[in-house]
Amino acid sequence: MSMEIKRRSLLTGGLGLGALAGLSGCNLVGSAPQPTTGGAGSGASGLGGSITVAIVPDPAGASAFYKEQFDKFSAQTGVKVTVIENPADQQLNAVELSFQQGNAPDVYRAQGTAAVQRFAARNWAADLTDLAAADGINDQLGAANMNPKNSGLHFDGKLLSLPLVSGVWSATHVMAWNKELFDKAGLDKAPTTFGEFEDYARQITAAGKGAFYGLAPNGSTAGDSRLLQPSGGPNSITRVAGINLITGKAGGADPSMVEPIEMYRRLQADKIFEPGWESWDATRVSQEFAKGKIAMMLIANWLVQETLNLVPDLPMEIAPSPVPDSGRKGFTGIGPSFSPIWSMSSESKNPDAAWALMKFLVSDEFQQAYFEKFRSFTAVEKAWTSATLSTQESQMLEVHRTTLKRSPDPSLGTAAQQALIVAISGNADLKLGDVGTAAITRNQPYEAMAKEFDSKLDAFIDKAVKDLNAKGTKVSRDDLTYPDWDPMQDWQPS
Amino acid sequence: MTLTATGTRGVPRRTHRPRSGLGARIVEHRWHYLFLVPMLVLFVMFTLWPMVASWYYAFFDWDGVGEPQDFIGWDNFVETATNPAFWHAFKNSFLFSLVAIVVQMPLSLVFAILLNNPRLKGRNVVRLLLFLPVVTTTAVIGIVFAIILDASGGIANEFLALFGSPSINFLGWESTALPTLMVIETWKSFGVTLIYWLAALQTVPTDLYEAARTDGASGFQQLVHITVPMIVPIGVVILLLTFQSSLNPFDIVQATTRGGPNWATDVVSTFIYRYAFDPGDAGLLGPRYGFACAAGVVFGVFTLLVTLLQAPFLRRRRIGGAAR
Repeated sequence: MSMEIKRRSLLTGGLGLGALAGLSGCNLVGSAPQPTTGGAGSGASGLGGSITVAIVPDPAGASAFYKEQFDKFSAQTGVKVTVIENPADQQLNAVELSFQQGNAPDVYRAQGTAAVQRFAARNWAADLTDLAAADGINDQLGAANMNPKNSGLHFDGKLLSLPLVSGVWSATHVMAWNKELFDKAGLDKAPTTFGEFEDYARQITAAGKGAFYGLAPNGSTAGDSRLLQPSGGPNSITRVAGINLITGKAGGADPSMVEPIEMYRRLQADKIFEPGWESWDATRVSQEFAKGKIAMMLIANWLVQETLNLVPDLPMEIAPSPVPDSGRKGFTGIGPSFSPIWSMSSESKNPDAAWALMKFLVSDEFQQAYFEKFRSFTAVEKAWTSATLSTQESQMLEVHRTTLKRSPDPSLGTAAQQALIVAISGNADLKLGDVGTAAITRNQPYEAMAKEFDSKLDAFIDKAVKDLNAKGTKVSRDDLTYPDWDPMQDWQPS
Repeated sequence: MTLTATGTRGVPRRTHRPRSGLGARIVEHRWHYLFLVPMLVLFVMFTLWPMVASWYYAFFDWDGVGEPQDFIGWDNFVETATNPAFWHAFKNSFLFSLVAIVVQMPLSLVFAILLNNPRLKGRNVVRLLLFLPVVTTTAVIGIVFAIILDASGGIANEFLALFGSPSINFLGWESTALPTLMVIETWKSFGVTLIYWLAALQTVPTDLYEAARTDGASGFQQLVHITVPMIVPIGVVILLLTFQSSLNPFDIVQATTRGGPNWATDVVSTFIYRYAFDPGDAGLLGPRYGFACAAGVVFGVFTLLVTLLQAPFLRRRRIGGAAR
């Protein structure tokens, strides 16, 4: 009997614990940040006390760089800086939680437009408009760039953030090619059209005989389509949640998407890519390029220097991404002048010191140091326009000059437009990149899949509009429509 | 009946009389309850409260910041129930459990029986080796397996190439990613189930085996007629624990494929994570904690139902096992 009771208890306990474990399936507790300390010093600025800054330790080497720079700041001002580092994908969650708990950092890396909008909506981002005007920040970053309509740093007319790198740097991408591997395949110049691009990839893979390949797609989410599409049509399709901003409707099946994805589908089916790309991210692709395993890659600007850091004497050349055989029909889009990075807490208990750090972050001294360390084209242009550039950097500047056009961006518009964009992007399972990847890896015709995606996205947009209207936010498809936008011209915001 | 003892000098000794009533029993066992308090506090804070809060949040359109205010009734649940991606992840989660129950449990029982043999030399070393993956950080396991299974230069593919096999992207192809993760997860969790079985085997009285051997029973007969029936009741609990723990392979999926390729390895926990923390291509564009909570609750309810559905069957097995 005694044994029976114990067994019954054991069973009951097991069932109970199992049920509780099952019902606890939604535990949304974030991880704690890892605090480190910056240097302290004393200065003659009249400032003092301490502030906290939340950063992301990217790119590689950023932790040591920021510590060194904040030590300099402390020595100049006497303000002690405590640094909190969060992984990039946890930064916003960690900062938001710290605001909720009443111990927000004085200065934080806000990680882009949508994030600043969220902080602004909760009045967590300090209004820097007057401070910036008084301290000459607008002149430092360029008066035209700081126009509230297109700065990317203003929200509802208020300056809520400061940049780290130039908007051009954030917006563009380049094609890198390995001159040595091209030579081995009998090629001597970068491809300029999709047709050449495909032919070259095939020739190089054939010449490599398994030792090297023509290319590997940039990551597992059809990233290359994002980089090739803009030359064939309205770049908003890959820049703004799959929407063609000329029509205000989903644009997944637009020819500018179909052509590059079908090309990639053919290349995948014929085993032209280096094996394994399906599970790589962009960094891994650049590592394969550095190892001499692939001859071409389409990448973001910052990866150029990361690749050269691995192999400094790599025979890497930089060129614009190829365009459709029928000719260019669009450009890579640049919406705002800058991507917002640094914001200051409206709840800072030491706002003078926090603002001093914000100024430091866009000072000549800091921006020069950042460029020299990471070779990223900084927001303060004189940091790099006066520098001696490498061959690749000069080539990148040429790509920027020839492939960029200012384009409409609803996230720079009214609060209602911003809310609609956020709502549309909230469906994590409705991403155009996923459709492209599926078409390429499953070897299925893309256009039919894209049409199905478009109908789903349009239905989702209609629902988002309806939901927002029901909540009192006046918004419609018109807020996503720019009928007079010509993708071949610079967009002029009204 | 109350028994009264008498001391050596004829003084009546106070007897231990069971008290009636809840309050009286609490007073009587006050020290037991006192020692339970720390565990209860932690349980309420870190298990019960998040669970109840998730149910509450599931009724709101909430991005996780501030107080949830936009009450939307059952909308999140309806969206969850009609979302094919959720059911795809749901199916994958249960496939992980199926593998754990059908493959991991029997296999670990076989190993436990072998390792329970005191005449087996080095059995403690083997036990240690089998348990090592359990205490190894999953992120490390993810990285190591990604390197081993890399389609371009990984050891596994280099080995297969010796036999003329073309490169296989174990973690990058839809056809191979999920089975590969199941193998890794089985390997990682194997040691826990093994320890459970070893503990169960050590509850079988040795005199039963001695009696059976005296009666001329073979090793196989001892296994079938003594070992298995005796460990069935504990096996029921092991089954439940394995089922529950195998439903949430979040860490290994996140560390290796993040649900890809093409969401072929998406499980409910990565689905929830995606909506709660990482909905946008470029990061947090519009997290939907309310919806993520609803998905968690729906999954939890189904898990509970499946668990409870097993109960009558398992109880019969338990009673049957004990009767034998």
